Amino acid sequence: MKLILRGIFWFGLYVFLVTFPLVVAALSVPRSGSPSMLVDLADGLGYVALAMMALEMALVSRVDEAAGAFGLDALLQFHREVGIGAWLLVMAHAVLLLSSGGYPLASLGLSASVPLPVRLGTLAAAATTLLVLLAVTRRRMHARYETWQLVHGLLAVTIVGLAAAHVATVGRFAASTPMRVLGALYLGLFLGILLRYRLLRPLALLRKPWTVVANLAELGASRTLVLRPVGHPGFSFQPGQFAWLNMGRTPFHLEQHPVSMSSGGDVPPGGEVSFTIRDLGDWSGKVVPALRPGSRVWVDGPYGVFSPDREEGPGYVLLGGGIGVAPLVSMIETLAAREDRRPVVLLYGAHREEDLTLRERIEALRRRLDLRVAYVLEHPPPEWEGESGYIDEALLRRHLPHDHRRFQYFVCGPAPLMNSMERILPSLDIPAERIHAERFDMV
Amino acid sequence: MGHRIVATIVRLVLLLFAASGLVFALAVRDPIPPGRGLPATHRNFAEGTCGTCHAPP
Repeated sequence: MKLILRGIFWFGLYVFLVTFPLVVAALSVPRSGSPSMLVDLADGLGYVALAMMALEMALVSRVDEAAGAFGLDALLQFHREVGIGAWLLVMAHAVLLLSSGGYPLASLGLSASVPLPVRLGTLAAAATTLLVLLAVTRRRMHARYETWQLVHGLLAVTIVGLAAAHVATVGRFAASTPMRVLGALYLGLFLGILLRYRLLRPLALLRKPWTVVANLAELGASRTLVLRPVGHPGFSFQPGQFAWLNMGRTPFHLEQHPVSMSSGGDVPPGGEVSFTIRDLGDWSGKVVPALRPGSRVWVDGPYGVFSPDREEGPGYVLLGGGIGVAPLVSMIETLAAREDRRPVVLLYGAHREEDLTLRERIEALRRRLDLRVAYVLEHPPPEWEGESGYIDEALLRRHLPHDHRRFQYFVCGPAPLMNSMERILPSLDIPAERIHAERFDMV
Repeated sequence: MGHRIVATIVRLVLLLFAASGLVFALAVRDPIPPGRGLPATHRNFAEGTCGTCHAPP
């Protein structure tokens, strides 16, 4: 199926799954009539919010077909922002009920005198607020990613359980048989996704271990891990894709990180795959440098749609910043291995010359294909003759080929680079469908 | 997919969901008094005007 059709299908399915309970509820209108318009509106928003929260995990549970249509970074952004939206709807649900007059503020609380559905709803709303607060302040609080992820997951499951119990005990629309059947189906879907994500997928990975062949120091405080599959053929991938690396004793270990492959994508069965990782002070600076040849690693992949294999063009412009260059080097390596004759332009931004990760590989690849490279240093040394400053419009105009509108553009780097390229490239008359971006700081 | 495109889609989706909640609230406003035994599809959304179509019980 074409990518755009797949995107429409998955997006349509999401909208359908969120709004369908409203249709069933509307067809199951209780004969007792409606207490007030505000209560009905609160109920409607509550159903939507619950369906959204139940589907939040599906968005990030690595369903290949869905992730392939949008890209995992886009899905993660959608998950994050829609999650905040669901919380807003939960708050609107509560405010509308309180404003309706039927539920005075004094009726809220957790004491035994408060009706059970209200207690369950209050707990679910409080847990949702806590989850959103922890999510938006995670970086500011410098919370360990894996601890946060565990708390986030447990809170999410608790919220869906509490909210489902709240709806079931409230009665009204949920008391009808069609709504009960639908509720059971949605709960089954939620548990099925949870089971697949946290049990079946790690079980499948258990049979496919990888071993560290080499752990190489690179420029820019980075390391390249060379991995080989053990007892299975490994995988071939589209250059630019990434995989989740898990260095725990088993694949059930919670700590895992998405890392782009930096080697060529056309891997023979049993062939090695390289990942280049920058020391960011967390797992990347503690666990990765300690890996020795022979260490066991679990690799879940490949994932991602950020690849020239999906985008035919007369040539490629690759725009990278920092460790974002890793997938771009994979692209160049693959094109060189295929003896591709099309022109490739790489604009690579870094703070200092010593931060140009994989520069030696790039220089070696220059001899194997029509590759033009411009390194752009924010703080160049005195003798530097290359570009300095940032990748901006003037620099792009200097380096882009005359027929640049027909090229395919791949951008990967830190948020400031991504944001400026999203703004500048369309202003250079490059059609949006030829601009492909992936944020490596997506989690 | 671009960051700004996703952000725009999220806003539109949230607007759609909020609107669907409103449509739901309007749709379930039932002007038919309980016990009238009218089919569920038989609605008059201008509350209290059943008498314009039906004789009072």
